Amino acid sequence: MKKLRIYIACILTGCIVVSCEKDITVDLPEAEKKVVVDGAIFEGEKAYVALTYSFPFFEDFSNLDFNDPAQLDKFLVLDAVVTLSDGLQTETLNLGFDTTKFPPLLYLGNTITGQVGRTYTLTVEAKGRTYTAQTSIRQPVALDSLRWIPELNKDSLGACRLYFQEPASPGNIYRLFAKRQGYSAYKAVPGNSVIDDQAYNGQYIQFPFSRPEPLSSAFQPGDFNDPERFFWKKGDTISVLFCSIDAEAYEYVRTLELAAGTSGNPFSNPTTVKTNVQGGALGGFVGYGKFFMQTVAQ
Amino acid sequence: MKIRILLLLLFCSAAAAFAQDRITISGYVKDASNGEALFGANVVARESRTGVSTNNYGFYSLTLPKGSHTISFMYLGYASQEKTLNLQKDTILQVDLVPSQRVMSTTEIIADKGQDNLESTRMSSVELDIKDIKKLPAFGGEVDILKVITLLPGVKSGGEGNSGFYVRGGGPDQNLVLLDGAPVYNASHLFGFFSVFNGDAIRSAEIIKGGMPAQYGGRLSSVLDISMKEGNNKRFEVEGGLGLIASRLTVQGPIVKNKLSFIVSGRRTYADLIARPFLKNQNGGAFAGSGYYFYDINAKINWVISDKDRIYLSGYYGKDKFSFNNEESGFKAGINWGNATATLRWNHVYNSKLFSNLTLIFTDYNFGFDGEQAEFAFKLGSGVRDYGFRLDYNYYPAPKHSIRFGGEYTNHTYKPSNVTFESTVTDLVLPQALNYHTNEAAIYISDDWEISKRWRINIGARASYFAFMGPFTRYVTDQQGQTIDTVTYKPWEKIKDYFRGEPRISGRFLINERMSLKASYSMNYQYTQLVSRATVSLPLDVWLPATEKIRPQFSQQIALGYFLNFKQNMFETSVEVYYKPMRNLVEFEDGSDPAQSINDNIDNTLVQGNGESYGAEFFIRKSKGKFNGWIGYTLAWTTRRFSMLNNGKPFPARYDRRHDISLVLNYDLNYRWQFSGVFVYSTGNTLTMPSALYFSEGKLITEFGDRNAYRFPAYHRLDLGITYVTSKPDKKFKSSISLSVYNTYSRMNPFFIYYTQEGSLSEGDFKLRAKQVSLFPIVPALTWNFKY
Repeated sequence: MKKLRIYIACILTGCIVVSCEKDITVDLPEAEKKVVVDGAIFEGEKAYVALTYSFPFFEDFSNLDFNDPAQLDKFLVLDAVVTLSDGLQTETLNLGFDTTKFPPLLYLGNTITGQVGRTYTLTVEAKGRTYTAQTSIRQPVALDSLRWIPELNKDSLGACRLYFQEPASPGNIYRLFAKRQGYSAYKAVPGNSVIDDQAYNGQYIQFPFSRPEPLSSAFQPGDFNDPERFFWKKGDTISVLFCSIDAEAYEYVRTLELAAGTSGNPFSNPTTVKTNVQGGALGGFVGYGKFFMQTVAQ
Repeated sequence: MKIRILLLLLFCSAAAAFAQDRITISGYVKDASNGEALFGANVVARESRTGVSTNNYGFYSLTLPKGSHTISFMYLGYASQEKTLNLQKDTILQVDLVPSQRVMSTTEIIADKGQDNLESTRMSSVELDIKDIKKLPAFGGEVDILKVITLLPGVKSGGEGNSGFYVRGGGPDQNLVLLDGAPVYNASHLFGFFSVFNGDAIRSAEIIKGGMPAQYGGRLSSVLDISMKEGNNKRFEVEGGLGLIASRLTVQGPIVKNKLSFIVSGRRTYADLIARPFLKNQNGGAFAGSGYYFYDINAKINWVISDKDRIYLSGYYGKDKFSFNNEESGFKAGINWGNATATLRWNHVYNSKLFSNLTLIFTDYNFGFDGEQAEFAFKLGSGVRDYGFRLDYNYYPAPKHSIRFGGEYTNHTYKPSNVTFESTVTDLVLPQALNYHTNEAAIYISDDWEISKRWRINIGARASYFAFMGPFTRYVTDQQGQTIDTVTYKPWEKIKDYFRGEPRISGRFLINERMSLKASYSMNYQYTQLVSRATVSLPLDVWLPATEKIRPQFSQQIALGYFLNFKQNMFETSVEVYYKPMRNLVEFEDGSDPAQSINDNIDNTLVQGNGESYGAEFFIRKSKGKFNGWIGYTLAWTTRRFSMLNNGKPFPARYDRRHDISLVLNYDLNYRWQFSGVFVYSTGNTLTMPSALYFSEGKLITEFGDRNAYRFPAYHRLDLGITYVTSKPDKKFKSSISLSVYNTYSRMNPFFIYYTQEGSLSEGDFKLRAKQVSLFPIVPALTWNFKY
């Protein structure tokens, strides 16, 4: 009887749970190489814009060498003219290095710094085409507090929660960046880092957020075996930038995160990221009003 | 206007028929062994060569000149009866036909199925008897009506793991699936692997793919009308089966012999019971309490009050329960969904010419997901609930006319994605998602008119009314989806209504005894839709009504058919071509996100567009003899065009398959052995493929190519079945063993494609690989069936 049971279970699990898989070759039509604009301007900071190219889905990177300028040229737009205007003055952004960003070679602002209430226009001229994007910096909303809470059955690992009073006026959109002491740069929190007040307008709100992964995760998938992945650890100094963004930027960031989240899910409808860049480029340009807060996990 | 003139003409001619000296013979045709009504049985007066078929309840009415007539009663699989009667006044004649034993099928004269397929005005429709369905190999040994339906030309299966079916290029929500008259909103168990229709409780099914008769409406593509058994009113019967996946038990019998009968049928899967001890021991019991099962119950009571009155009460209740429990993380989740339907029907015969049926209908579909971890609890629910009634009249004023008229009313409540959130650490209040309240009504009339021996038409009209009512709050949004205003409606306040006319006409021209030509035109409106964020049909999909923002779906269909029977109607063949333009089809807009539906209207994120389908269907069927079955071939195209999707360019629908072949064969060797086989081949489904990758904010993002521009490899599969009857023919206790082999040559049909990322960019060996996943290799299943 027991044998029969095992046999039946094997058939059931064999058929329903485990399925059969094989490598296949998919012939895709050649895709158009597009310029990707990835820019931002934070309140009190200078603008930065990374310009890259999209590449074919099954691109072979087996001989990739970033020290070879010819290969670099394949991925990065290095000869673009990038200008930024805040309505009063216009400046040209220059190619420079910032190792806290990916890619580290990008166009950096010189004099214009982000100010609440201003609208910024970005113009990119590359390979004979012109792309423009506009974003505004909105008034940030103050946080009430941050609190670290250990996970169930764990003493030193947990999530952090933020608390704030959502203003009574509708139409606020938030994006959360965080970093752990010792990390050089802020990153958007994992999962959904943006939220609008559609469902919560005027309420006292708290929500938990996890620890962003280090920058290197852009190149390789995160380490699923790392027991500390996504957790804040007791003793960590947690710093956050609680930012406000405008509606066009929200659509870009929301669909970007939705696309990243459903990427690889064979059942989800394909998500096209809604760019706020005009002229046929991909990507987005986002202005952030920011509120800073820090706490120690304990 | 033209229609009005035609209708007028038609009634004039009907009235003219009264003037003659005629009598009417009427009554019910039933199965002598169990009292089940036989619908579609042929009643033919030999001398005058006029005939009718019984309606859905087995009722017939035939008007003839006074005098002596020989009347034949015929039904496939039953011995025919002939009665010679001298008719001087209206007569009621109840007929019980005796089923012909399978063992004797070669010697006994079997009823001629007649030339119904040639002579009726119906086209694009197929009737299936559960007895034939049960002979075919079944996946996991579970007889599944929906799977067999998809073997007919023009009806396509969604593939494995998808119980939805696609008729002539229409979506799965464009099929009106009726169980004893009640619509079933989700016909699937186990995420689509099985249908909710238990083969033991079902008597027959009919699918109408085009030229929809006027009594049906509310869906664009098809009607699948499933009738439950009525319950044996002669003797008690216990029937059941032990299968690999599920077991079944059916009890039926008379409460008062020949008057009042019942049937109760139940089914349950037991994978969870088998898996339970394994889960307990694995990982120290970390997943104890996880499992999956489904069950369903069908019940029906049938009361023959008198020759004139009959009452049926039937119901269905089924549930799927999936639970996941991870002790370690404290994460618990449950998904359960199910349907409940109930119908109360009253058949009344006013006189030999007028038959009525009043049906009260209730149907409820519910889907729920709940999860909890630590101090958070989350619930998501969606569903539809309908209350309604319909009243149908069959009026037989003259032998050349058969008139149907009636009306229906349904009150629908749609619950799209109601979310609740609880937490012990916060008192965040999430507003309830809004229900949509609607009222739907229709009236119809049709006449099946035999103009001459050669010409026959069925002309009908349907008028439908749909109203979307309060209470409701409309969120008015700007282009970025940000709310700028709200509009609140009071209960029963009309928000938007639609009033639409739907003409239907079909006709046949009999070329000779063996062939006919048919044509049909129909116009259909659909006021409800299933919207899906996924590319497979999941219980997570949401039913939504037409609103002031979503216009009702609309289609027209023109079909032409050539029908040919040969070898004394042993073979029935047909060729049909159709063209079906569709408007106001519904899809989610690109980038729509379930989390957005809170404090917003889900229909704010939908887009509408048009579609077009055309194709040809070839069908050859042999219903008689030891060796029977059919071959179907479909050549079809179906495309969509949405201004907001695919940059406004037309794209093929997901189930746009150029070729579709089904071969269904059954061979009754002798009393003990019966063999069957099914072979299917179809062009692969379409798929949207990635075209490029790019980095944005350090995330690797996929850019997609044209919608549905890629095609999966072709799908093909062979299933075989063998049944061995273990009991002796003269014994009351009958039992048999069936072996079903699904996917006999273990074809790795594609289920989905996914990509894996290998290496890393920083190491310089980054590469994406495509992998194709197939669901089922060869799956044998053994089932033991018994009947007492």
